Amino acid sequence: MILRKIKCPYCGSEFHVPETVSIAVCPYCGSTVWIETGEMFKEHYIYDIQVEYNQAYTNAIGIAQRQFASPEDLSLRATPSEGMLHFVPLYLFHVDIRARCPDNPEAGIEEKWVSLLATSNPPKGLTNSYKFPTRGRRFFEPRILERGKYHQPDRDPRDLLELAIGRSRIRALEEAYNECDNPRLQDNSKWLGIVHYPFWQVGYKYLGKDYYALVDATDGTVVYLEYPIGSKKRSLLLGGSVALVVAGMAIGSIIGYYIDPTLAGAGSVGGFVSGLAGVINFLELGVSRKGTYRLEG
Amino acid sequence: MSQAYIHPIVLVPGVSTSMDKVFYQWTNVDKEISKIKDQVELKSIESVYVPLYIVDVYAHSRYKGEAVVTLTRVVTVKTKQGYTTRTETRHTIVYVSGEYDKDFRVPVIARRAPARKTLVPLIQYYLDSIKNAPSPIPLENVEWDNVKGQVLSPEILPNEAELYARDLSCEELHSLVEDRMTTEAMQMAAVQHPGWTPSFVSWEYKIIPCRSEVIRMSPIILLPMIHAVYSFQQRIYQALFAGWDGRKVYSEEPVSSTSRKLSFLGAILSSGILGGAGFALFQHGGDGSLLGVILLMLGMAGSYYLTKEAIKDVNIETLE
Repeated sequence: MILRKIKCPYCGSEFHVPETVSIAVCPYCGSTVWIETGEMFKEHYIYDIQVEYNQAYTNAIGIAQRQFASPEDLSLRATPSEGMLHFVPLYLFHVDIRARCPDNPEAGIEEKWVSLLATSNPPKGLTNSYKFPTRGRRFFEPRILERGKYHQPDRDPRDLLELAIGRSRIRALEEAYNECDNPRLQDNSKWLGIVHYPFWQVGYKYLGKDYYALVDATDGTVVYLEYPIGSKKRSLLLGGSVALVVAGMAIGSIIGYYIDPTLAGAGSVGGFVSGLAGVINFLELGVSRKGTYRLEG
Repeated sequence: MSQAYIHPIVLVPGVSTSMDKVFYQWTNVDKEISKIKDQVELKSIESVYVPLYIVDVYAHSRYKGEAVVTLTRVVTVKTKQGYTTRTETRHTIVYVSGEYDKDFRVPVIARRAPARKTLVPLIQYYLDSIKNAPSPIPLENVEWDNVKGQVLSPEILPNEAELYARDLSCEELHSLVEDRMTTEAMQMAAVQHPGWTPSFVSWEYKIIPCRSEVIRMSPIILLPMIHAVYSFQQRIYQALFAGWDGRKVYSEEPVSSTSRKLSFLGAILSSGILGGAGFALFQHGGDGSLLGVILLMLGMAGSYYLTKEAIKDVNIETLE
């Protein structure tokens, strides 16, 4: 990794950061600096850790245990392995776009707040679609660097602002075209600042194999999880697949015969085809040894 | 000399009973959870006050558009083989215009992070039961010793919340007006051509301007919610309660083995009955072919959905 030397514009201390990093935090005074311009930030927040590792581990195992295909004895035989606290940077944006017509200055409005991952290498399982819970935050403090892995933002907020805006300009213009032919676009969208958000990387072992989970350290929500698929459950799923198709064919054959005695075979094919659609769900779990869980919504 | 404007903040008082009691009351009363209440263990419970604006918006549109409506009718004709039916199609152009207005009540969470789905039923329940909820107390009169839990600071300014609420109201008005215009176009076409049934509308142009204004802006309301995490047979679930009256608004609950078995049985019946009948009718040909394809598709969809239900990890319950 190529490093470069940075001088903090606030306290004057010198420190090294990877060359790909665009925003750095001074490890001596905690100031947040945009390396390219030397500009300092006011809005750099951190969310408090409200859930300790033991609770995060318990939550991860509890969610793994409730998966249909996980083995019944998972919570008894699972043992903790490597765990780590990650502070993941997010950029916060305020999208405010107005399309103006001569007699209506707000003919089209698009207004929203967007948070996007500021690192190109977030912990496994964390995506931009994750909805962060409403919890307390405070100004960034450098002492957090001692508690876990601090991820430096390495993505340019100016590029991500465009991603945050997305189709908002087009939508505002589309609204305004309803009122006039040549609406004028006013874009007040801005980058508000950085938030560092804590996640527990939870590791556990089951029958000698390693599994991974990512848990929100502010409220204990399990964001992503890998879990073993038990051999009994695998057999159950594979047996269920066969039973579904065979029973579907048998019932289909009877129904076909009832419609017309020559159509018993066609009914059986219909039952088979429909059964296959259901079997997809069973086989998805039944043929693998590791399942994954992702938080929805 | 200018003076800074301070938007008023009020707090909805939380329940006076302990949070644990709120949770255990639910486990006693809920039809499904009460069956397993002895095996339910409360792991953690906390209270959080969420800042919220309620914005009343008036939105108005003077719309117009020109539509091409497709109409069909079924006629019976005499042929050499006897009587047979035939579907005829024609097109007509109609001009639609009018006015539409509506009042909207828009809740805006005064936080920058997008809301999780668990907060939506909480806010909806507050709006629905606002008359029965305890009166909010101005912040200066709050007795802080009685406030249990974390109070979140508002991050969104009133003017930003207003703009957001107006944007949302206009989006909703737009889709309502679109539906109304389509209905009007079909009705006009049906009146112009008696005996014909309108079936499809395509628009040559459609203009739906929206003007909106804020009629009333609430103070920032600090709304209490209680978040509980509980376990059942080492499995973890969560529940969310309205902090002002203890009503459960969202919960994750274990899936019983009976419901899994029923879903599996449903998948078999769906495959066999719908799929079997569908393909048999398709093979049979004639008028039943289309019905056969539809039944086969329904059988596949039913089988897929029900097997998904049979292996799901959790039941989600929200307020109706």
